[in-house]
Amino acid sequence: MNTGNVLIIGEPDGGKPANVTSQLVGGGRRLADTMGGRLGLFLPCRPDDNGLLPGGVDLVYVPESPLPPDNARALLPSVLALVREEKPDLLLLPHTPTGRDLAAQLACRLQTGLAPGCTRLRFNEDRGQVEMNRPVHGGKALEVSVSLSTPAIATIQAGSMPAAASSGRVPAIRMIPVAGPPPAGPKVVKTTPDPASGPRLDQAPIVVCGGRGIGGPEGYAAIEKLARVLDGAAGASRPVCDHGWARPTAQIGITGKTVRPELYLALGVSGSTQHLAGCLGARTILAINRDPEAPIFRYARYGLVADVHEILPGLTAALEKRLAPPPSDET
Amino acid sequence: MRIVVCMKQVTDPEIPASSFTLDDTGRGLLPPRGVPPVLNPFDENALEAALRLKRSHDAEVIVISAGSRLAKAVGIKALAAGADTLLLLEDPELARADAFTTGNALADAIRAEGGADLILTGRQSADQDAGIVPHVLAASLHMPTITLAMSILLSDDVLQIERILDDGRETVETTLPCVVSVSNELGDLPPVTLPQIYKAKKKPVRKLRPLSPIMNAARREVLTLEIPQPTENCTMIEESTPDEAIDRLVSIIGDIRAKGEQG
Repeated sequence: MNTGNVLIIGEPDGGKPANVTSQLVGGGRRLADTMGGRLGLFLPCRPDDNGLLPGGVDLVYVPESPLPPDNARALLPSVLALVREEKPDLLLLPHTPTGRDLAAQLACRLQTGLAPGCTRLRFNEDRGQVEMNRPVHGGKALEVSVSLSTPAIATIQAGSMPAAASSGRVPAIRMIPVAGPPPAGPKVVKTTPDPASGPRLDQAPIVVCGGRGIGGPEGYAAIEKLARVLDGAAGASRPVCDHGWARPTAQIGITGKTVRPELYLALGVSGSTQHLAGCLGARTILAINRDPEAPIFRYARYGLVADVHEILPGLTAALEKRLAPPPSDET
Repeated sequence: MRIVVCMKQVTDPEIPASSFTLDDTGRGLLPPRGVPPVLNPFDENALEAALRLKRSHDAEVIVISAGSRLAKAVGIKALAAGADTLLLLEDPELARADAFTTGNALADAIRAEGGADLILTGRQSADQDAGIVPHVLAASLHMPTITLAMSILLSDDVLQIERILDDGRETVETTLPCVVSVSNELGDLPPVTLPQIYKAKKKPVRKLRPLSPIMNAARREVLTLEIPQPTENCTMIEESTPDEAIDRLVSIIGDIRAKGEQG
């Protein structure tokens, strides 16, 4: 018998659930309402007392002793035990490295269907199943599928669901036992986080992306400068990262990040399908490319056929001037 | 050391979306006629990782592919690049198998062929973009999985793997055996040369049959597939000088930015 319950396996960001987890709560709430069930949220550690939980969760599950949030192997036994007990119809995880690993490992053990990298979920009342939309073939096609058993498991790309508002109301927190011994085996010996500068790529309202047309590392430095001027984030297409002009985590596309900004500036980007899969969620795409036949112009709202090098320095300077705070010493 | 690299052939991912059509069921994608399949580019990265380990250590590199009709050129490419043996796990049912069925069949075959110290896969296939198979292999063979490797080093039986994460990198250490999925950051196979291809034709290629019948119990049903169409709604900026074009860009960007701040 179906429960209609939706369970989110959340990721913390510091003491608070990460932004992507808030998005899963926003989307999960609507799904749980149409499915007639409750919305649960598993977090690997107790939320910071100062950190507000996203609104709309019915029940938060927290292990009795905190689990390492970035270690799918350590999380698996406890999450598995929780899923077996709660019997949700739908399991939602963020499409992050840990979320993807954990989702696949859960699907192996629960012998159920997994749709990785979903961009939209919809409950089909006639079928009584959740339709899961995801890009396949490097973004060349969109697939809609259902799981033939429960729970259906989906990992959700960042930006695909509207984030739930923070709520001052603290939902019921249920402590759950930690299942199994701490896993032996692989150990993280070193972490090298990217230097933090400006808004995160997958959260920035403006993204400036450099493609092969930027020509080299100096070109990418110019992309970063424009991003700074616009209070946005800099990104790159795959060839730019493969050449080492930009760090690999700046990559936008099917093997990089999915971004959904208000404005996407595609500079020297031709628009391969694997890249477009990462940026077509942008509200407005403005493209500059030398090649008038570049596929990016078929998806852009504004286009300019020009060499990026001829435009970028002048554009950055002009925007810097326009956006500079007005002088305050006029009196 | 025995390294097994799992590989899949895919429709060439460089073919533009506009040349694809849907099949009669509306649930499958048809590539343009006459385009040969290629080795999944991420599996090439996995093979490159294996060949680097082979150069620094005494390793045997076995490539295995599950399916029913691996293109000869795809197999030859893997052998020419430096793999020692090609195993073809063939069964008509594998042609329509999902990642779980495929992964379990591969795991059974690897076990039957004497196991592996290290199993490498691509981070995902360029057609399904799922990345499930490494986890199925690991679950079936009771090994740990480490995904998204951008470099792999081996010293004194300890494997050191650098992983690419969303906002940085991490280094993981583990002992063998294990399953590692490799990301594109690790690097591409160098192009193969003609002498390598001749040599590859003399290397062993063995066909295997699944030990137990393939039970294709699909876990998901694809309802529809859609090829997204471009919006074709682009306003071209046709000012005659770069300075005029910049003025226009500044006004477009400024307007969108101002709107965002109000909202």
